Amino acid sequence: MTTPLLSVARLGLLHSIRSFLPIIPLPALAIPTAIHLNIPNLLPDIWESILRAVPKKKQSHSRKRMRQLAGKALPDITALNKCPACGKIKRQNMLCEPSHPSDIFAIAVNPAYAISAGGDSSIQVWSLHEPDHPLVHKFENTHPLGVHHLATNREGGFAASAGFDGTVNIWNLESLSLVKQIAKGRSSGEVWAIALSPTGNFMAATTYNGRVCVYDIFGTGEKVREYETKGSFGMSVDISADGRLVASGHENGGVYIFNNDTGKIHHSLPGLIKTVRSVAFSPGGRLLAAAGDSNIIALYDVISGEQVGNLSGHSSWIFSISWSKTGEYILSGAFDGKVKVWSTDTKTCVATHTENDKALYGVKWIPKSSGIGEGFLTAGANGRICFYREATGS
Amino acid sequence: MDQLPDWDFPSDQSNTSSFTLPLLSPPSSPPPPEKISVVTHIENIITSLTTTLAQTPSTSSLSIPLHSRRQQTTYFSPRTSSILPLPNTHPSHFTSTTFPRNPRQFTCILTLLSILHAHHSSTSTPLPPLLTKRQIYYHNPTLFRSQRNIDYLLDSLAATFRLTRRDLDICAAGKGLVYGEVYIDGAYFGGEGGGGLIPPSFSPESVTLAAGVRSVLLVEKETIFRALNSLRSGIVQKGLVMLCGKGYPDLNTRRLLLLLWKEKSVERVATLVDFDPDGVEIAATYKFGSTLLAHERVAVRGVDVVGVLSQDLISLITATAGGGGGSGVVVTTLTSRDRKKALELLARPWMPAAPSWKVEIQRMLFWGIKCEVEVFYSSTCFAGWVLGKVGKAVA
Repeated sequence: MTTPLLSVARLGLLHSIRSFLPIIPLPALAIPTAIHLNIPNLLPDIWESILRAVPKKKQSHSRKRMRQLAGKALPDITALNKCPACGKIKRQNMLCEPSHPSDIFAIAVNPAYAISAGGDSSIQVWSLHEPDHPLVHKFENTHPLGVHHLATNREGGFAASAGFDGTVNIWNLESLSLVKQIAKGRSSGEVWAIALSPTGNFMAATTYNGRVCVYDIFGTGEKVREYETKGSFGMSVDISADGRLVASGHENGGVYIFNNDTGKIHHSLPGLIKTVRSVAFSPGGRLLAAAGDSNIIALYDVISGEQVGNLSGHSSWIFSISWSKTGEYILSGAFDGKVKVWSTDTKTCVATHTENDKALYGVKWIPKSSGIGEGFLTAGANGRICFYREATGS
Repeated sequence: MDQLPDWDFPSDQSNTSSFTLPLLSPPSSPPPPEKISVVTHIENIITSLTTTLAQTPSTSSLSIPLHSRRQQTTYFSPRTSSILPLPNTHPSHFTSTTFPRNPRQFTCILTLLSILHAHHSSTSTPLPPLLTKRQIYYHNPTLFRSQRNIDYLLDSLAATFRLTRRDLDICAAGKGLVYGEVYIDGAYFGGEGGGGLIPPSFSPESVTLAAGVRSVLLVEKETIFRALNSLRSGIVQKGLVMLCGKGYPDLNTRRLLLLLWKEKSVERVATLVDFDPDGVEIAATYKFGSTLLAHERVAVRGVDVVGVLSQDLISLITATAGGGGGSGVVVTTLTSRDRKKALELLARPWMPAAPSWKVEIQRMLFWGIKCEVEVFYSSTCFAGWVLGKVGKAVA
């Protein structure tokens, strides 16, 4: 295929990098040939996993030793480095576990960093450039009750975090500092899901009673638009790539598109009757994807408001969806821990990955400009971030 | 009664002289913290009132300060893992009932004091039985106006005296239910009888547990209690005693639980509550005590929530999703009241002592759903499900 993006066949080889999986030789990962380490006491955890990684038909110890002496044993893990956060030795290309002591409720990316936040009060910033994704910065004590949503703007300079206490913090990702706090001192229920406009000047937020508000971040920090809906809890929100449209998904299944220029509702989209947990505009701004408790991803034409497709295949609630840069693929993460990649052309699922059965709350494509190739990351109830990437090698 | 080490704060002793009423005059010998009798407490109040009258007859203003029971007058002690009252050192911890300004309430308090005084100073044998709050109310319903008023004043008096409601010889009508191999005041609560109301007047000596009982199953709702209170459910065979507080538990239920946990052979308290903010708060009431009754010191550290937990919902949600959806609404969405309550709970002082509960509440909020225990009741073997949960928690 000549497409700049990865082909369907290669997507199937996307490899997840995890710590506790038994060590299986994976040709796609281009692991160097075996080097035997004689320092098991330095690497107790990994050594133990090697000892436990026996073939399915269990061989006797002497047989295994014979094979090892003959150079036919399982290869040792050599792709190791130190975790920059805690100093422990870990496998390369994975984050030391667990990244957060509780669930990770939200992740966001910009060209340089992946940002994660969850039930603890810190926000962590991970590097995307380096293959082992070290922890770059940790914002401590940001929201005392925990963080439930994160957003970055398309250009990548800013991030916003929404906490359970109802406050929103705006962060500068170049200087890694707090810019300002908005919606402070308001009654809880004023902010749930958030999204930033491409330039980072505006933020859209849903409320408990279904309104969708647009805030002027760098001006007064006050609402500049306020859209009323039918009063059902606003679960999700997104701003289109040109910043002109805002979409919201609600607890009762309602999906609405608002026009920021006119300040009026653009479309009320029918079709979903269960909670909509994620809405996302395609990069070109032509399509809107909405997904949630009905286990399908519905695609709508933004101009006409027609439903143009359904992606069905998940067997549990979908918490998060993300469009690839070109709009060719959609990534979705579900409550049962499954992450699926969908082709928007054929409307079929082209890859499914499962780490475990813990819910996934956030999935995101890694921006192409990050320079590490195509890939995506997931995070959820197990408190870990998993990076998936295009298989290297052939 | 259990004497926790921080029952008497040293600061109690320093400030009492500057205060109008020597309610908290410390015992003469601190090491055995002997409580002042109720009669002495009452007489102290009356004496100070008459002294005030005698000394300043012109300012005919009389006041009785009662210890207020609010979040500001309590604190969470991580050491004992319970909510405790603050030491009574500051006048702002008291709310005064003043005579000319608030004559009815003032009369209520005096009447209550006289009833209590008469009860406690009676020398008849055998000792008079416990007073119920209802009985006290019927002494003078026109004066007291509402039962609620009496309940409030009696608990405030207990808090002021730093005694428990039981020390005042007062009890409320029973609300909690008990079932299992347990004898209370000679009555048996196991077998096919289906258990019954907890008698209000039990004492540590009058409660006898069967030999094999090692844990307590605490359920939130009466319907669940009724579903399990027979020999068929296997509760008794597993060596469990089941308690039910019917929603937010009353003091009597909590006292019985504390007694079983502290002085009998019970090691674990498995709690079955709804997956909603109220369920968490009910469990917290058992585990950490409550703000209003902090002076009673009924907190059971061993309380452990075994269901309904967020991981129980995962199979439920995935199963119904696979089964063609829409058929049975098993999980409901959170109302705005639920969300408000959940946020309050997240900010509670005891939250850091229960990190797993924090995760549960955050998931509740993030998923936007709640779930009642009854959802599992419809599944084929409810008793087996419950016992499996308890077994996992105990093991």
